[in-house]
Amino acid sequence: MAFPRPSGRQLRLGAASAALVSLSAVSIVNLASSALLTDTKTAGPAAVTTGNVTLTLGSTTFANLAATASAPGDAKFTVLTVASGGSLQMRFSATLMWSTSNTLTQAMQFGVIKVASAGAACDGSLAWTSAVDGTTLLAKDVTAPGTSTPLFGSPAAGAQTGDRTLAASGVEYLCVRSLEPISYATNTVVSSNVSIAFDAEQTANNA
Amino acid sequence: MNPHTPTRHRAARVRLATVLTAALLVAAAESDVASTPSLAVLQDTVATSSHAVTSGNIDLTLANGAASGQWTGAFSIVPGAASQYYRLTVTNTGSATLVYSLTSTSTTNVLASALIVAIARLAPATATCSAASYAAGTDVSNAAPLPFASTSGVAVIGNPTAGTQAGDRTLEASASDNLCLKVDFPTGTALGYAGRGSTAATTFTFFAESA
Repeated sequence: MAFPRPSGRQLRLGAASAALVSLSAVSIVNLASSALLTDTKTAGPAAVTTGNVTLTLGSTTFANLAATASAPGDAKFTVLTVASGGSLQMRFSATLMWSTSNTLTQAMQFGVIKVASAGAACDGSLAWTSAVDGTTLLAKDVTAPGTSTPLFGSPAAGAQTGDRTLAASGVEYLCVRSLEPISYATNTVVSSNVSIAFDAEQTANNA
Repeated sequence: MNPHTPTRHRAARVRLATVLTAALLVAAAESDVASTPSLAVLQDTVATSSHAVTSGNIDLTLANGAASGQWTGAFSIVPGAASQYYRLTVTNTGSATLVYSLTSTSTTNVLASALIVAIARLAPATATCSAASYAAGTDVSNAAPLPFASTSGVAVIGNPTAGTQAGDRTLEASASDNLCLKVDFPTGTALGYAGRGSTAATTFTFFAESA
């Protein structure tokens, strides 16, 4: 059976009808989606806490290194307690600081030996003439050409040779010796203030 | 004018390409920012207290001699004469402790070797150097008998060799030694006739070093 060829008007009506049906289908699908069952679960609260790096000096004996009339050959000693008060492992370095540079400060020699406790011997009986090993003898006969010089390690970011690693809540006891060498023959009075700066940084993700 | 001319199509494509390129650049930039690790690490710095370190000095000064720059001044003496006494105060006007020694050097040995000296340290408040004060003082000179001087030098107190030597005197900052020199010309020195009118121009030298 042969069908008659649709006219243009019939084609336009058919297309319009198809579009309406499509729109209706979309509406039905959307209505059906609004009726879907939903559920939500929340994982229990988990604290995210930042770590911190805090270096504290537990010693008040640094004044032991002061001198009012130092003579060639004079040596002075003090124990510094270096403690990590933070929650992260850290590494630290030490820098010798002078308020001004002069013939005396350029001649003064500093050494650092790690000792077992704050009450341990810290005097001339220690092995000051041994070689620096980075474990016990941390610094030997360090002199400052200017107003500051690294004592051990380096404050530069990242792990540096000589840096000391300290665990969270860890403590180290450092015996510091200042020595006016016997060869210092300048017979004049000069003065400068000395201090030691400690720089700490996190070790995690900071090789 | 027909909006769908080829020229309008090209313009639209150019605008679209520009927008897409800009979007890609923004996305790439954001990607770079996200992928660049932060250089910030946790740090802390702490320093000890600061304390003065001051060098000391030593400075020996002489006072109360017979004249400025002299201990005995010029004097005459004959064999067997009574002892003669001469005072000299040695002070450390520096800030550090020192040790000192004393030598005497003469231009000739003829008379200087015939005279005998000894030195006593008097009490600080004693202003007179005499037989009595000398006897009350403390002998600080080297082992007797000591010649007054020699051309090569005689160590009268201690030893000028570097380092603390036996007999060296220690003076803390601002401390003094109140010295009393006794000179004798004993008989029997065999100085002889040739010794008449001899002189002994003598220099006393104090050597100080930090203790």
